[in-house]
Amino acid sequence: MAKRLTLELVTPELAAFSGEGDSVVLPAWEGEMGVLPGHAPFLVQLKPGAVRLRDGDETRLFAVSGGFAEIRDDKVSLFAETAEMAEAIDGERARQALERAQAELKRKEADSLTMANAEAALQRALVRLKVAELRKGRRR
Amino acid sequence: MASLRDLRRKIKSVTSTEQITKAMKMVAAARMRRSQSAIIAARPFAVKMEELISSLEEERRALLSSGEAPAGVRAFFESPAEGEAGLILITADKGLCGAFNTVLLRAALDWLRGRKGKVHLALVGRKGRDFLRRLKGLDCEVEIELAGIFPRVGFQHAEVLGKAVLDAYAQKGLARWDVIYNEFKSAAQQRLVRRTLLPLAAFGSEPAPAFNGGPRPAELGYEPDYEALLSALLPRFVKAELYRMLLESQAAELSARMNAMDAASKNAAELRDTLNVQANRQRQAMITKEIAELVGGAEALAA
Repeated sequence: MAKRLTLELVTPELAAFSGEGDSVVLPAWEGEMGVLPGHAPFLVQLKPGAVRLRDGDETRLFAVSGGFAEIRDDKVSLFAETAEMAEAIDGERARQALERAQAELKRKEADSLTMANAEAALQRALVRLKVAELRKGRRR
Repeated sequence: MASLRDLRRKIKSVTSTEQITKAMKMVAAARMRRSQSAIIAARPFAVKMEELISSLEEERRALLSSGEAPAGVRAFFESPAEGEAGLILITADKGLCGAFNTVLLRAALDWLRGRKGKVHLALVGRKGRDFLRRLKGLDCEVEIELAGIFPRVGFQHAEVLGKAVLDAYAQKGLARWDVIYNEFKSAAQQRLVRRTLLPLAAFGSEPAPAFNGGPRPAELGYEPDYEALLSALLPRFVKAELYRMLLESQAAELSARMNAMDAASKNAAELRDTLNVQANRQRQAMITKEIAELVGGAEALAA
């Protein structure tokens, strides 16, 4: 049997996902990075973007908002502030969230907490939209 | 002696107080369970973070001793011995939770007494903020105030708090950041914790745990380079720590409130019982008196 990879997604609020596959593609700092079983131990910073886990003919997509990935013993551990499965993303909702966040950022008088919240929401929505589009593209 | 009417009024008020405290206890209990599971859910992330950083320990030592460490990284571990200090005080937003806030405020006063010169403050929770605002003659600079975040603490709060704390640390040459908060020990117990958040000391003292026979850190590949990675990792680590503390404090507050309200309900029930007995006694005394008067009147007529 061919060697397999384990992918583990961990966020501060919960352990989001854990599963197996044949290969993982990460949005690494200096460009996308593919990981196959038997990869050398590696520590990499991630950019906000899409993580792809391929398992046979199936590909699972996740949206992550930056973070780190550690590759060790055929195991990819991913730490991100937020991570979501593509299936859980609602494109329309993400678009609304994006608009809301943009509107929020335009209001000058908002205090620092709401500003930071809005900024984070904006980033999240952008990544979500990107991943949702990727998913659509694959279906066609 | 209070009249029967007064007693009845009092019984009514005690009963409704009892109902309220009971309801508050239920709410606190339900929320505590939720925040307990939030702590557990946050644990893997914090553990992994710690592992990651300690796996970089060797490189860090080499980097620091070579004197080539970038200022941004170095500051996390070493800081000027002489400098202003900062305090992160995590209190509750609301009262009615026993000694929870009092203990914190007393510890904060202690801390302030031990400082000379200006202090920097990061205040989480309305109680701590209001208290320190009322203090006169305190030479302080408030870096950030977070009020009204309980009982729905999210990582974004830790993010905002961490950013303010780190900015102040880096830009204003602070010697240290201390934290005072309550830790959740069990549903019945909270423990006051005083510790130093920055500079990070924990990793220097204890040896890096062996990684289940995994490769030594030196064999790890990095992208981007080690320094950039570490300076991106450390702030996140600090924020993860803060997040954990916020969650702990939240669970501790809720459990303290649960206990306080439980005690209040019990007291109210006891008080209600005593008042009931008193009222019944008076009522009976009145009836007895009336009967005695009737009997006396009848006897007078018959005579």
